[in-house]
Amino acid sequence: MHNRGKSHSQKSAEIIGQKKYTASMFGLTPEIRPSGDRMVLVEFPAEITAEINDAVHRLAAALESARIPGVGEWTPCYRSLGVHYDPSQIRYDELVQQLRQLLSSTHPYRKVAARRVEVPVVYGGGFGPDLEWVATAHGLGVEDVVALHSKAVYRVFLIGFTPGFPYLGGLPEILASPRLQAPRALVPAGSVAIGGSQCGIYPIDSPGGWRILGRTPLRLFDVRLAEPCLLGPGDEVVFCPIREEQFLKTANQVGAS
Amino acid sequence: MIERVFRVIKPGLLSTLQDLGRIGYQRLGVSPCGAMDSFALRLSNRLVGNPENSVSLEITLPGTELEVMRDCEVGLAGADLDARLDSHPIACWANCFAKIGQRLIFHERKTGARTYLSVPGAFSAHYVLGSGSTDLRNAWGGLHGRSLRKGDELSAPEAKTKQTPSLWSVNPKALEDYRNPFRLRVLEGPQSDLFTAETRRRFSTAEFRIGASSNRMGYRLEGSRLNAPKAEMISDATPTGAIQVLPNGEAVLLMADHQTVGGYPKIAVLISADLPKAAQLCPGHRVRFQTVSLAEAHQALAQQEERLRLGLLKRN
Repeated sequence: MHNRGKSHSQKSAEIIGQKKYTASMFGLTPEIRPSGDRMVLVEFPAEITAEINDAVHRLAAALESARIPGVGEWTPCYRSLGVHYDPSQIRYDELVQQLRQLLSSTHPYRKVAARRVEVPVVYGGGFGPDLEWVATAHGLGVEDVVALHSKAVYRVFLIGFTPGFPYLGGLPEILASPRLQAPRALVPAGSVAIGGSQCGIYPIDSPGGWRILGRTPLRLFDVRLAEPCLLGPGDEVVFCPIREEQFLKTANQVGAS
Repeated sequence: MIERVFRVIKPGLLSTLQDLGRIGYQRLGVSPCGAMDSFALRLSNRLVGNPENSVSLEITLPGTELEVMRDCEVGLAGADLDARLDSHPIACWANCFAKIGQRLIFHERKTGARTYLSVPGAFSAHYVLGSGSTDLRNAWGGLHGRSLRKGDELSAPEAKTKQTPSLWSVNPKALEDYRNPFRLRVLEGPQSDLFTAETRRRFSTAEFRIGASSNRMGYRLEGSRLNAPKAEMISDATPTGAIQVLPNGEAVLLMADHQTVGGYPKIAVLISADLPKAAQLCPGHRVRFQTVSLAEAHQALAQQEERLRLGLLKRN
């Protein structure tokens, strides 16, 4: 970048520009503001994309490394991170400063165990009552839907709404399907479903309005375990089609619900 | 040795075992739960010499009746529900002794909504993810993840000493925060800029009525509709005390059992120091919200901690 012939204000603008868009791991500077008096909200641009969601999870990983006293936990979402803090241990201003430092760091923070989890699924039949509907609605064969759904690599954007419920991004656009007009009173635990452009897995029996493609014998959430949640925010997920006999065998082994 | 302390004769409207809640798992979708009025819970425990985070019984409104199964010390803090041991009234914000065979009855609402009953050593509870609090939605923690039913029995460690422990009551100066129960202080919400100035003005001047369908997850705020923003927001973390505005203009105040993530815009968030006050409101009560600064919110919280430290007064 040439400085010759530039006015002072132009040079300042460049320097400011360089500082703002410095090669950090987090891209553009996010907005930081209070959400109540015990949470700091760090917001990246308002879009649901893998890149932005990745920045959220990398900030969460950075917080885990930093172990800031007074920061108890954090809630990662699509494009924001809610950082819970104890005001008697750390002041708001101090926390914001530390967050900005982490955000401007070039350290390639990565989730401690960034994993790819294979989720076996029995598609269709009694396990996937909406598989045919989705196929017909998109002018596809049932096998095409299974192939498209199971070839994609999904990311866990966040875990929320019920313990262990993963919001998965990466659904092939062609499969995006509207929710049911009226939710089912009972969606069985392990159901793999589509809601809009999102894919999700119901950890427990619950009401639900998403389109059910199949069911996994894996247990998504078990309070007895030290790591109760099978999937973590930021993990990758791939679905592997299995047959019903394999479902029953695996279900017995993992003690699925 | 764990021994039975109470048998439930009448469970009351909603009696659940609670401590200060589940910390550290909101990123996995686990609601914090815990006592709606954490201030009263902490004092109830202090009255019987427990660590503040010990599992106690949260009793909602009158009607609960418990049979005493062994002599025990009892601490009571929170709403005055006209508690009696047989026919003898017992004071709230104080400890006392219950004798085997007596009935502990919560007779009538005098003030507040929720009261906390503690015994030395804490009630036995199902601990999940580090907390004995009941999670009603997921049916875990506390007593089988549900509220008390007739015939249930609550247990606790046997008394360590046979000596008659002293009588204590909470220093009245500690109860300052409950004085203006219908004025709740809030911070501007993280999405307050999505609302028009007129809507924000209306929120800070309107009177709201706590709706009948209010519960531990949240209170419906009725009587005044607000203009919800047209644009949808991307779901983000929901703090306890958040006031969300639904698409139809209704406002909801999120309480202890709230979901961790939400997609409705938050016009305001209750300051933490006023959560205990909010916990003592009943359906039908009318409230107004006053916007304060972050510094004032933190100061209020620090003052509340100071009041907790004021401690207990010995009484004869």
